[in-house]
Parts: sequence; C-alpha cells; structure tokens
Amino acid sequence: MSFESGLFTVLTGTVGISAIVASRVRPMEGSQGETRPFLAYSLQDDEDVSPTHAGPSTTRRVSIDIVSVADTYEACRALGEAVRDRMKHYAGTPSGSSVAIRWTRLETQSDIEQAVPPGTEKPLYVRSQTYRAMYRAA
Amino acid sequence: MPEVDGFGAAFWYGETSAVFTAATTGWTAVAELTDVTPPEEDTDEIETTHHGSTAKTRTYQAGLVNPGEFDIACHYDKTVYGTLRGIRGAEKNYRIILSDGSGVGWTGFIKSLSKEIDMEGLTITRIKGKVSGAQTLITALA
Repeated sequence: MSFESGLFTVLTGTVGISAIVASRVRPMEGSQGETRPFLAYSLQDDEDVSPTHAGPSTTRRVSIDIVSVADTYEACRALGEAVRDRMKHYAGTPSGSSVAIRWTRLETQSDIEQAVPPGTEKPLYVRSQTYRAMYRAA
Repeated sequence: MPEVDGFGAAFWYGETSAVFTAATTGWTAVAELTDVTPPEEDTDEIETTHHGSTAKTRTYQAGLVNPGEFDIACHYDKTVYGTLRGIRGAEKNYRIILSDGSGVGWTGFIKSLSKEIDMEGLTITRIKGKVSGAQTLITALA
C-alpha cells in the first residue's frame, strides 16, 4: 500500500495537470536538468490515525508537500492552481491503485523564493502546497 | 515485579451468568478499543471527630464503597453499535482483561452510548456504564 503511488496516479491522471507536466511528477525533487514545468512531492508525516489495543488501525493520515516548479511565475501559479483544483478535495480509489483515499484538503500554500538553478542565470519559480489526506488499503 | 503493557487490553460483555474467569464462553469482546478506563472503586468517608478527639485532629472511618463507572472507546462499527444499544440499560456482566490475563469483572449496565465524529479521523463509539455491586478481581482466565 503506497499513498505516493496513488497520488502519482491522481496527479498524472488529471487532464488539467498532465497537460502541463505530462508525467513529470517526481518524488522529493526533480533531477538535475529536469524539464520544466514539473511537480515534486515529499511525504512529511504518515501516522496511524487511531491505533487500538488490538494493533494499528487500517487507516493512515498523511501530510504531503507538492511543489510546482516552472520557468515563469504565471506558469507556476497555473500549475499550482491545477493541483489545488484536483487536491482540494479528492476521495476515491485511483485507477489501478491499492490505496483508497478517503479525503484530501489543502492545508497551506506559499510561493517559495525565486530560485536560480546551478550554472544558469535563468530564474525558476516554485510554489509549495501542503495537503492533508487520509487513506487505507483499497 | 512483572510489568504489564497497557496495549492489548480487552473489554467483554456477557449475560449475568457468564463466569468472569471463563476464557471466552459466554462472553463477547468489543473489538478495536482505543481507550479503556476501568471503574474506580471509591469509599465513602464518615467523619467521627468529636470534642475529645486526640490532638485536635479530625478522625474518619470508611463507609460504603461506590463501585464506580466504566468508560470504553472503540472504533465505530454499526453492527456493534446496534448490539450495544440493544443491551443498554440491561443488567449484564462486563470485564476488562489486561495483557497478562488479569483484570476485573462486574455486573452493571450501560448508561450511555455515543459517537464521536472527527472530521479528519475515525468515528469512535464511547460506552459509559455503571457498576452495581462489588467488583470481582480476575487473576487469570481459565
């Protein structure tokens, strides 16, 4: 059971997102020289939502950061909004996934400072969003 | 002295004929407990102070024992909830068994049954009840 694989399926399976990044949804961060725009996600917290005296609950709650990276502020904002539209409330079992996502919600989002990739002078823009979600095995 | 884990506690209910030390016969366990609070026995205090009390110090003697109330929480399950609602108010036997097989049993009744609904968590059933009469200490199950 992997929440990340379900998340990948949700993001890349959403037309509004895949039209911008295709399947460039990466764990942690994009590779050096990664084609932009792209998304990167990282798990911040993955907890047993309600352990019992009989063992762990089957439901888990996560906090996950999704970072939108693009060459222009407008492209970055548009990508972030596309992700937000999909993730502000998602409930379902992503196609082919072993994870049933019970709900998601946006906790916070912010523009990270304009960054400059090593060896270049061309700036890139980064928007970070943190989502909370609850899931269990499908 | 052996240490007893809190994890693994179990709450059971049965008819008043259920034997407290029976392993499972006559008992039904409530699954997925998240919080277990056994009844607290509390003894009334009766003041016996008089004008001649030694050293001008109040004196007391023990009175009646209040057998207490129990408070259990578990993951909500509609079937279990319906069953517990069906026995609410009826005199039954209950017991809490710890991970080492010891515990406490009593006769009593469920006073209240409620649901706690957390928008970002799981729904919890809370069971509160009253003990009637003396509790029975259980040292081991048969």
